[in-house]
Formats: sequence, structure tokens, C-alpha cells
Amino acid sequence: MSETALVETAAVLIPTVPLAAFAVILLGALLPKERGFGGTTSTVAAIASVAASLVLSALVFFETWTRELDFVAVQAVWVDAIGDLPDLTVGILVDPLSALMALIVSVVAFLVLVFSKYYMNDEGETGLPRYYAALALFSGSMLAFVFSSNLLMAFIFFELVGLCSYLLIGFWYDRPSAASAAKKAFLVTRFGDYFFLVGVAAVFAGFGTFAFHGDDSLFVAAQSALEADETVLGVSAQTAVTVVALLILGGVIGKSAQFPLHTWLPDAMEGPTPVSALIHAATMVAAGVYLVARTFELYALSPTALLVVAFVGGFTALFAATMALVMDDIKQVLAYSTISQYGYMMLALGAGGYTAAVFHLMNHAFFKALLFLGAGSVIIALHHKQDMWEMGGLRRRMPVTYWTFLAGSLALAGIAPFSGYWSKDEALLAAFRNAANEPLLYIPFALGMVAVVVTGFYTFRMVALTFHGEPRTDAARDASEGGISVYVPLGVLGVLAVVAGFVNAAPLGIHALADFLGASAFYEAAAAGAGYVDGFEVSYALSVAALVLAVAGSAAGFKLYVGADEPLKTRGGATTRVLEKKYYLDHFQVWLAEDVTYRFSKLLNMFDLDIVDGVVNGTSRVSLGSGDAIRRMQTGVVAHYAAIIILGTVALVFIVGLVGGWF
Amino acid sequence: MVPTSYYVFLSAFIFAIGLYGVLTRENAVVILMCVELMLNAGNLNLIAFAAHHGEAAGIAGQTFVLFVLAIAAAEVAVGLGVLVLVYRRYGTVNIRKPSYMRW
Amino acid sequence: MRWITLLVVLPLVAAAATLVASKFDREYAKYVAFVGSLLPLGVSVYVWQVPFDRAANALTHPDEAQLVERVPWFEIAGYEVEYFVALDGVSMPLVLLTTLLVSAAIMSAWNAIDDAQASFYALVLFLEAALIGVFVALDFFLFYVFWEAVLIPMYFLIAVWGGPRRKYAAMKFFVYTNVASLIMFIGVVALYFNIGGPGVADLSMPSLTQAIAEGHLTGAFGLSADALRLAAFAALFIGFAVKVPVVPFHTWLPDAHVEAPTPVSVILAGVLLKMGTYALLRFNFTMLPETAAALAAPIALVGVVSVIYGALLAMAQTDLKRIVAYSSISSMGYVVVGLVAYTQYAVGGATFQMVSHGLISGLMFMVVGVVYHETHTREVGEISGLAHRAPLVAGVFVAAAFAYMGLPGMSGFPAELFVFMGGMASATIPYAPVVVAAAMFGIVLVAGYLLFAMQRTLFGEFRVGRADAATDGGEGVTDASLSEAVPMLVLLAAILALGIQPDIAYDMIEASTASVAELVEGGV
Repeated sequence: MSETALVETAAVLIPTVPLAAFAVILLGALLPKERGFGGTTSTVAAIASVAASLVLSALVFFETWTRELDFVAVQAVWVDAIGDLPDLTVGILVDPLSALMALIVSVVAFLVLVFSKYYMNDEGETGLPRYYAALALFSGSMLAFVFSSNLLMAFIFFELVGLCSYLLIGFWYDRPSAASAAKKAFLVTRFGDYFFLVGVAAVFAGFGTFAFHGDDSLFVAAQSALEADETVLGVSAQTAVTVVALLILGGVIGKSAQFPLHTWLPDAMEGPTPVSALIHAATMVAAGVYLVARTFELYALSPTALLVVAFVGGFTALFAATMALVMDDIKQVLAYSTISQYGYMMLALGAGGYTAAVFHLMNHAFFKALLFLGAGSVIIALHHKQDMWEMGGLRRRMPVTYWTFLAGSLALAGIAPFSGYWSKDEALLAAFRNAANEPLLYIPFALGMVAVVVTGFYTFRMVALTFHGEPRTDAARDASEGGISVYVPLGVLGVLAVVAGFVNAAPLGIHALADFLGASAFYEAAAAGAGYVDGFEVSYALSVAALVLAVAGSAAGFKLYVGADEPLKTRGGATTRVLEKKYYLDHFQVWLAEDVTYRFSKLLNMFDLDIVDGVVNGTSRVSLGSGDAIRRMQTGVVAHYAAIIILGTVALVFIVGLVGGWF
Repeated sequence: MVPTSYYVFLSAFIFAIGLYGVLTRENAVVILMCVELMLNAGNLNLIAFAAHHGEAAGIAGQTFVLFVLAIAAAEVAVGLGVLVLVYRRYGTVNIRKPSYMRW
Repeated sequence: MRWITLLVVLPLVAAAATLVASKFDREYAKYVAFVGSLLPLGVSVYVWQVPFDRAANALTHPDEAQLVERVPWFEIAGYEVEYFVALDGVSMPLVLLTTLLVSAAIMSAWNAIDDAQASFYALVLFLEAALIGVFVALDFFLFYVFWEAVLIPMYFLIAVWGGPRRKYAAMKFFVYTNVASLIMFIGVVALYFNIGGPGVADLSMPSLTQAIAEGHLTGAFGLSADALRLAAFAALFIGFAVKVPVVPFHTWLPDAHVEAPTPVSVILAGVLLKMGTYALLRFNFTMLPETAAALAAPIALVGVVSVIYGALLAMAQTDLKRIVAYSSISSMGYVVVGLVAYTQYAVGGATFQMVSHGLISGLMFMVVGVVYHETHTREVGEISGLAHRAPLVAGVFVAAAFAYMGLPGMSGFPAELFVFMGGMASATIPYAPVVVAAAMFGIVLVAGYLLFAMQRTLFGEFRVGRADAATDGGEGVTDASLSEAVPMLVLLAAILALGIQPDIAYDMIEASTASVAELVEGGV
């Protein structure tokens, strides 16, 4: 193993360095002000740590690529169990998926940190150490999650990622809306994580192992349980696998903001824009989809679970896209587009398109980070105005932002040859090809196709409103761009948004990513477990159809909104209202939390105080009351006492006599 | 010789008088006197039975009486002392007045 | 070296020293008490690191008990009463928890307690001695003496230094737990007096365990042996359930917590509640495993109800202390579920949860105490934006809240994880996966109310007092002083250490709990 020693060390250091930076910044903040860390030190510490991770990730990626590495680099015992119980371990799993994802995460995180320096540091911000500490923790946890060698470790860092999102979304905690959004984000994802944790416990109880890799992995255990048709946790192995897969999916739905747990994500826009970029592109939201990819072999064993994943994905893709149509806040549009795009990844996974999902995850990471940073640049230029109706005509004032943003938008809309097109096409292809075997997949496929039009429409509505037409406010007229720490991230990501798609442009016959990921093994797993096809033949008709739909939607959106003014916004009727109210799902969840749960808890409180505690106090009241009644005998008149004594004595003598037989 | 039962009846009579006084009177001095009556009724009983049993019982009965007399004296001393204090405190020896030991 | 005796006696010496020192200057009391409390802390850490070895359970494997001291004391009704103390993997962590929390509580009392300081600290130290005694005693008589001795200082600490309704709360606490102790006493005595066969010659807990395990329990009072066992189990369970507390015997706890001064709340939540679960583990689940397994369904149900009911009630509260009090009920529910699951991870996790919850709830009460000290209110609606003025307090508050939620990296996570993992695999609880999953929903509820409380008190605009009040009551609000910050940070460090490396404590715990889990067939 000595030849992999370098990779091992690097892989361990990738998450460790940012985590160490977090600890250093945190301890620095505990020092008294004069000697403590200022904003500059923490900025440098965080950026340097992530830069180190980036370099190391590149190294690990390169080594994995050239030498086809696939091994558990480090395995440490976390909890040492006695007897034949399995120990709980933590480990670093280096394989193509983790190496690629680590590279994506560290690239995006690094660029976001660089951009943060522009976005955050110029504002007389006092909480910079807190900000950079949380960002470092965020990057470190995500990287550790990516390299997790078992389900438990994945859960641990999955949760820590959630914590970081709480800290960062609520960064400007003096705004009530930010504090509320942070709470909501954590709570909603926590609700999903509840299912994940149940799944983790069930995996342990049912299969006795958490490992992702090797002969004793949980996939192998599940596979052999299925083959032996064992009873697992009191149900058949097939049911157990499906249930476990769906439980893990609960956590995914929460973190990846899939229907119905997507409501936290738009609110999470309360956080600083670079944070949004990070959350959406590379860390928190990506964690969910990454987890499904990581445990794909488990899902492949259960056709039901795969179908559920596909349905959730397909539905979310369209559902979120429709809401993006009516949003006025540029970040809200991007938020809903994120939900929608992750829907595509879920659709791809559910349809067995392992490569497509990872491919789209990668492309999305680049172009969504780009779009958020571009939006951040616009927002700063307009002094924290986010309403697109207050923008317009910015393309002349902010050319770099405009051109890069446009590249990102084309990628998002799915227009060839920009990156999003290739991966989205592949996701739809997966659903299309497998629908031949599993007709139910036509439904999510159709939803995904419709969403292509909608995506094009809202994307170019956003571009038109923000950058085209005439400036609608003075701020938009006087907008200007920032310096190098804006241009570098935007430029790098802009280039990536253009070219990244070519690593796996299937219609052109390029399968580099699929080969790198070793995707055929996963296709075969899905074929064996769920009866899916074991490879996806390119359908040029589908590719052309998707492109036509995307162009049509984009053109329509651009045409309708370029140069549009206020009135357009109020044109809509009932449909718009439903969309603007986000299908009333937020209301429903708030109602569920406040009116149902909270009211119920209040009722329960009354029950507790009046009934349960009432019995306790009642016991004491009865004792006190009876004592009170009896003490009335204490009249304080000695003669009464004497009389009672005498009567008592007489009575006693009488009774004793009666019993003793004197009479 | 007077039959022992006469003494017993006399003793019971005196005891009853004392008891009646203790229960009905309010003046503490009178009550104390009535208590003395009851004690002495008891003494009378003891003496009577001592005589009744004669030699066989020895002098246990008489000894008892002496003890009781001594205790009664002590009791009167204490009781009167209490009464003096009660009188100082309440200006009366009516035992219904001090009601601190009541509920 | 009689280490355990030293552990019990040192706090008493410190208490006496505190009283004497205060005669010279009343300010001495706090420092003498603190230094005095460091001695048992130091000794317990030394004992843990040096003479103590990880060992099997002291009841099932008495030969392996560590640092045994056994001296005959007197004889009663043919039973030899002994001074019999020892340590194992269940009691050692709880002793460490006690010594650490008492030192932290004493330091946190420096600012909080003004009246009659010497008596306060002396009582706290006396309490410490009794608590250590409860955890180390292996003779039932001795155990009961310590068990009852805990009530005395606790009563005075609440009744004298407490809040406005302190008399009510103290009396309720005392009477409720004392009645429970009596019920428990009857249960234990019923067991001792009905051992047939060779009988037991002494009142030691290992010999009772062994005699019952060997099937020497006979019937009495017209009851068969099984019925007697059941009755004794019920008596013991109720007796200890009040202390834990398990719903529906919990109502003394919120009152006691709200009225008790902060340092006392710390010890109350941190250590006193663990007496209940410790005794449940020692008596119900180690001595009477068959009965416990037979009653697994109702006991697990009680545990689940405690978790959910406690969490829902915490949600309804507006007083920060009541919130923490009810969430303690919720957290202790996990312990009950874990114990009855009878798997290695579940029983070990339940024990780990005792330690973890002790640290976390102690920290939480300290934070709330500092908030109260600064703002003079604990009502959630009357404080807002505290993070502006007191960033350290806010930071610790957030950390403690996340620890309560079982965030990975904090001690609550491994504790709950073990209970869940072990619980799922349980062979005793019927439909274990469903039951445990129901209990796990507590982690969502706890996040709900703590996040809500944090949002309202820590974030937003800074304000103290009612929203519509004309004046701002928060003029003098500052961050935690050094004597408040140090104990909080120490506890936080302990929570993090146990969260990141649970084996620090879990290693010795599992050695002693595994043999308990093995008492019942099945389960992983």
C-alpha cells in the first residue's frame, strides 16, 4: 500500500485542514478582543485551508483517475465494541465518486471563499471570524461526508453540514427573518434526518454493518439477505431493504430540498449570498443527492425505492420550476431552480442513471455557484437590492457579470453546448430508456420534459429582467462591478459552465465520466436488482426534443419579459396567486407546526398541570383536608380532653370486658 | 370490721366528685383541687385493698400511697406554679382563656 | 489506600472547612468550598486513571468489582450489615460526573448566591458526599442511608435559596421522592426476606443478585415466587421512576427546577435524576431481568411516552428553566427505552446517556442561570437579541442546545445513537423497530422547541422586558463573567470530548453493561 500512501495522507488532510481551520478560528475568537483574531486573520485562515484542500483534492482526483483507485484509505475505530458486535468505525473512502465530488466541493468552496472576501469583508462586518469559521466547518464537514466510508460517518457529517447551514443562514441574526429561516432550515432538514437516523439504526440492527465498501459492506449484506430470503427485523428482506432505502431517502429529501421538505431552501436565501452559492452548489443540498449516489447499490436492490426516488425527483423538478416562474427576488428564482435541478438528479438516480446524476451534480455545482455569485455581484452593485423589478439594463454596467451569468443561464436552461444540456439530456434519457421496462417511469419522465420548458422560461425571464431592457431604478443606473475577487471566481466558473458538459457528451460519443466512475457496474446492479437496462443507448430524437423545448421556453421567457415593466407582474390571476403562495405548502407546514403541534402541546400542558399534577396536589390536599378536619377536636379546653380520655377509658374497659367475657 | 366494699364505694364516690369537678369547673384552682380528690380516691382504694389482703400483700399498698402523696405534692407545686404564670399572663385562672394549644 | 472512602469523606471535610473558614470572613466560603470540591474531583479522576480498571458489572461479577472496601458494621435480624463500597463501569462515570458537576456548580454559584453562603456551600458539599455514596454503595442498607441522605440537603437548598414558590416546590420534592423511597424500600426488603435455600447472610446487593439469579426467591404473603417478584419489581420501578422521573411521576421536577437556585438545578438535573436510572439499572434490570423482559412492552411504552410527552410539554413552556426541565424528562425517557431493550449498545447507550445528559442539562441550566442573572427574567417572550450583548452566553447556549438535540460531535449523539441502534435490535421489546422509531421522534421535537427558544431569546433586536414595555430593562446586561464562563466552557469541553471520542467513558461502561444485556436471551 505504500504507493498509495500519498493519496491516503492527502485524502485524510482534505477534510481535516478546513476542520482544523475552524477550530483555530473558534479558539482565536475566545481570546480577549485585543489578542483575538480579527476578520483578516480568519479570512486568510479559512481561504488558505480550503485552498490546501483544493490542491490535495486535485491530487487525489488525478491519482484516482490515472491509477483507478478504489479503496478505503484509512479506517479508525470510533467505538470499540466488545464481543462479536461490530465496532463503529470512521474511514476515508477513496473512489472515483468521492474523488470527483471532493474536487467539485473544494473548487466551489474555494471560489466562494474568495468571493466572500469581496462580498462580506467590505461592509464593516463584525462577525467575520464567525462567518469564516462556519464556512471552514461547512467545507470540512462536507468533504468528510464525501469521503465517508460508512453510513454512520456519513450521517454524522450530514448532520454537521446541517448545523453549518443553520449558523450561516442565520448569520445576520439580528434580522428576525434570518433567524427564522435558519431555524426553519435546520428543523425541516432535521425532520428528514429523523428518517435517516431511523434508517441508520435499522441498518445496524438489520444488517450489522455500515460499510460502503468491501466484502462486508451493507450492500453485500443486504444482497445476501435477499438471496437467502432471510427475515430482517421481523419482515422479509425485500421489505426491509425497501424500507431502509426509503428511510435514508427521508434524509435526502430534507437536505436536497425535495418535495415536500423543500420549503426551507427558499427561506435560506436570508443568508449571505456566497453562503447560498455554497449551500446550493456544492455542500448541503448536494449532500442529499450524493448520498443516494453513494448508496445506489442499496437502492438498486429495491425497484420500489428506485421508483419512489424517480417520482420524487420528477415531480419536484416540475413543481419547483413552476414556482420559480413568479418570483421577483433574483435569489428566490435561483433557489427554486436549485430545487428543480436536484429533482432532475433524483429522477436520474431513480431511473438508474448513475452517471447522469453525478454528471448533473457536477455541472449544476459549477453553473449554480456561478449564478449565485453573479447574483451576489449584482446585489452588491445595487446595495443589497434583490428585487429584479428594481434592476434592468445591467449588462452594460456589469459586462463580466453579465457574460458569465449568461453562460450560467444557458447551462441552467439546458441549451447546447452549455454544460447543463448534456447532463439533463442524459437524465431524461435514463428515464426514457428504463420506462420501456417500467412503464410507470413515463410519468416522472414526462414531468421532467415539461420542466425543461419551464426552466428555460424562468431562466431567461430572470436574465431579461436583470440585465436587459432599461434600468428601472437609479441604483441600477449607477451599478458597478467589483475587482479581482469577483472576476476570478466568475471567470473560472463561467469557463466551467461552458466546457464541463463535454466530459460526458453522450450524443457526441464521449463517455469519459461514465468510464471514470465505472458506471457500468452500477447499471448492472440496477439491472440485476430492479430489472433496469444495463446501459443507455443514445436517443438523438430525445436530445433534439429536449433542446427544442429548452430553446422554446427560453425564447418565450426572454421575449415576454425583455423591457417589461411593473404591470406584467400583476397580470396573473388565481394561478399566479397559488404559485406566489408556493402552493400553500409553507402555510400548511406552519399550520402543522404552530396550529397543530404547538396547540396540542399547550393542551397537553393543561392536561399535565390540571390532571397529572392535579392528582399529585390532590393527594396532598386530601391529606391536608382530613388533617384539618380532625384537628378541630383540639379545642384547647382541657376539660374536653379529659372528657375524651375518660370516655375512651370507659369504652376500652367496656370493650375489653365484653371481649374478655366479664359480663 | 367495715367490709372492704364500703371503702371501694366511698373511693368511687370521691373519684366521681373529683372527675365531675375537673370536667365542669373553669377555675384552675378548683380543678387542681378536684384532681387532688381523684388522687386521694385512688389512695383510698390502695389502702383499702392493702388492708383487705393483709399480711399476704405486705406493705406494697401503703408504699404506693406514700409515693402517690409525694407525687401529688410535687404536682400541686408545679400546677400552682403554672397557674401563677397563667394568672400573670392572662389576669385570670380561667382555663378556657389560654387557647394557644388550640388549632 | 481507601480511595472510595476518601471520595465520600473529602466533601464532608470540605463542608466543615467551609463553615469554619466563613467564621473568619464570609467571602472565604466560596473559595474554600470550590477548592474543597476540587479535591474529590481530583481524587475521582486519579482513581479513574490509575487504580481503576475496566471491569464487568459489580453485581453480576462481584469478584471483578474495583477498589472494594468491605467492613462489617452491625447485625440486624440475622443479616450482616456492612460498609461495602466498590466501583465498576456503571458507577465510575457517574462518580466522575458528580464530582465534576459539583465543582462546576459551586463556581457558578459565586455570582448567583449571596445569602448565607457558607451554609449553602456546606450543604452542596454534603450533597456531593451523599451522591457519591449512592453510586458506590453495594450494601443495600448503606445504599438506602445515602439515598435518603441526599434528600436532606436538597430540601434545604431549594427551600432556603429558591425562588418565590420555594416552600411548595421543596415540600413537593421531598414528600414525593420520600414516599417513592418507602415504596422502593418495601420492594427490596420483600426480596431480601424471601430468599429461601441457603439464604443471604448479608444485605449486600451482589449476594441478593446472585441468590435471585440462582432461583432462591420464594413466595410469601400468599403470593407465589413469580407474583412476589412481580410485586417487588413494580414497587422498585415506581420507587425509582419518581426519581428519574418517568411520566406520569414527573410533576415534582419542573417545580423543583424552576424554584431551585441555578447551581442546585445543575446538580438536580445533572446528578439527582441519574440516581433513579442508576438504581433502575442496578435493581430492576440487573436483579430481576426476567421480570423486566416480561414487562418490556409496558416499560418501553412508558419510556416512549416520557420522551414524546416531555418534549411536547417542553414545547408549551415559556420559562426557559421549565423548558429544560421538561426536556430532561424527555431525555431520561431514552434511558428507560435503552435499559429495557437489553442489548449491549442499548444498555451501554442508556448508561452513557446518563453521563451525557448530566453534562448537557447541567450546562443548559448554567446558561439559563446566567441569562437570568443578567436579565432577571427567564420568560422566552421577554428577552430578545441576547447575542448582541452577550455573545459568549449566546454561543454556549447554541452549543448546549445543539448538544441537547444530539448533534454529532457532542456527547448526546453517541448516547442516543447507541440507544437507537441497540433498541432496534432488541429482542425484548415487541415490534422494537417501530417502538424505537417512535421514541426517536423526540429528536425532531427537541430541535423544534430549542430552536424556537433560541430564535426568540438570542436573535433579533436586543430587548429585555415585555415587547410593549416603555422602558428597556436591559441596560446592565453584559456577557458572562469569568466565574460563570469557566464552568460552562469546562462542561462544554467535556461534552465535546465525549462526543468526539465516546470511548473515553463508553469503554468502561460497556464492560459493565454487557453482562447486564446478556442476562436476557437474544438481541445483538
